[in-house]
Amino acid sequence: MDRCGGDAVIDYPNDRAIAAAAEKHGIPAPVLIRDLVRVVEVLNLKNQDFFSARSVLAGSMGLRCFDSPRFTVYDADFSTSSDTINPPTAMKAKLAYSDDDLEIAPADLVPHDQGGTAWKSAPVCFTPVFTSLIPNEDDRSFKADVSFRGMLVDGLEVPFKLPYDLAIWDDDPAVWIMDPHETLAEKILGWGAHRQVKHYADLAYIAIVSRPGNGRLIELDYACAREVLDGKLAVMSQLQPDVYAAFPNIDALIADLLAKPQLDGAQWTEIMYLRDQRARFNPALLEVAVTHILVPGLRGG
Amino acid sequence: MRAAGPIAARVLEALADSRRRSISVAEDRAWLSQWTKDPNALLESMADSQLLYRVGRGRYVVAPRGTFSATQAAPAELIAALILGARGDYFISYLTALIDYRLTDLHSTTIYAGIRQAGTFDVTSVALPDGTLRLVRLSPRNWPVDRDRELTRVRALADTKEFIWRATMERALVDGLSRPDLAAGLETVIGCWARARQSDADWDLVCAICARRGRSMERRCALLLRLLGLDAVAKRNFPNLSGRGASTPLDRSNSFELSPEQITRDRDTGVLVNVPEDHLRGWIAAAATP
Repeated sequence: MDRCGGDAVIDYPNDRAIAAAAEKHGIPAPVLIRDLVRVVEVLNLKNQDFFSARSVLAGSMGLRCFDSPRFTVYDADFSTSSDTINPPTAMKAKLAYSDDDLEIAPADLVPHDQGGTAWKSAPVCFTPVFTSLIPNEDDRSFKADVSFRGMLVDGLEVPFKLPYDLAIWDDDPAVWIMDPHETLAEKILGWGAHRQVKHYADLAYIAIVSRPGNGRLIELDYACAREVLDGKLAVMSQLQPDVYAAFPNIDALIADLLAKPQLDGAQWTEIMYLRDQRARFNPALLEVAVTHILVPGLRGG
Repeated sequence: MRAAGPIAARVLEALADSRRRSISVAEDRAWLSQWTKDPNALLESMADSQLLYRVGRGRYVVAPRGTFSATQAAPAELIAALILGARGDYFISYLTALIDYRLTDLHSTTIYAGIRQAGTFDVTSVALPDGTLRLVRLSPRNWPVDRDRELTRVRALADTKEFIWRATMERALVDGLSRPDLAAGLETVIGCWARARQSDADWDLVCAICARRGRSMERRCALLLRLLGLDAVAKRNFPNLSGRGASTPLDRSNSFELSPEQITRDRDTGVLVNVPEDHLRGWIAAAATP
């Protein structure tokens, strides 16, 4: 009786298993459930042939395939093209999902920037019949961000990993994610332009796990990283010239990374890491990772 | 364990009939007394049998069949409301309300609530089944005066007659700006204000609440509105605002610890911008892009 569901894309865990995993990893149960729902969404899109080398899972959910311990709370990022989804509003039908245990009902896709290159569906509401651990209806939604800005590098097809052990499938399903070089470039631009702590945290993680040796999880080629960063900066400078005016070239971005980050202490405490990694990923480590590993790498040192 | 005796069954039936999920000794003593001489013992016994979950002294929520914790039975805000409602006026605000309005993507297990300064609570926080209730004492000047426009009564659960007092979006924005330390920091607060531009926020009401809370809040509000491109709203609501002689820190939590040389003073409002200016611009821009 632990499992239920008919044509579901995962084996839904029961409430006791969810509560135990939430407790073990220090993640609030509603957040973990929302994550499970986004996992279902990813597999739903996979079943509809959304994913390919040019249509990928991006952002922090993509980074989890490299064991990132940071737990993204609300959004799911996708990067695609008009070859896959046309018009962008057609994404709504793809996002909709239903099985015996879960229903996902997306809002209409609306443009999220003036150029119409980024769209979002918010809220994507869900009805999680499989659990009673999310009684607050306000918690039963997430956001899907869909970029149509085009990718500079083909994505990677990798096993879709979960940061918790709920045995929702037998074998990790394969999913296309954004190439980490491109993710790195997006995070560098995100930090430079928006100064959000989460971007800096992800940059540090990429730097740490791309070091050669045991425990290397990302094969980062810094020459390639510079090239992708250059291309990405060109695209974004054209789309949002005001936002990126302070960065005429990638050397300006890299120099910016070398500066001591000014991290808002209160915001830092809201960054959600898995419990067993929380002490390790502190602001001091992140700064060292970015300034002593990432920046020298990008400078070819 | 869950077999309900005849009296317990009547209690549960009465609660279901009245579309309630909660019960308390203090408020329900009268009708419970028709079935028992000792309502307190009855509810404790029902809790021991896992028919109810205890969420505070003399306060319980019904345990739906198949559940094993209070967090399955009621949202944390309802549990907070049950604890607070018995002791006087309260409203949910700060980070909790900003999350409720989806002005930020964060999640918090701390529930923030404003209570009257003269209230009977002698603690600043209360343990919840899966988190913490943080109490913020508010002086009469900072207490909502326009209940209809600053507070909203929200149904806690669909199909129940259980309600929560929550700050309106406008009030929550002001509360966040007044106490960034209770709203996950200024990055979150600025992001919320920026996102609120895409909602139907009543900016004149935001200004009115700030004005009532004093000159410092007026100054912060005016500066922030200007940064958000809402200069006209600021000028309309604060026509006589001058920066002369004022030095009001933008971030009351001072979480960036900038040196005096790094802090600039906005001449028009008298606000000390004790936050890196590129951060301010970046947070606002981020609200407009994924």
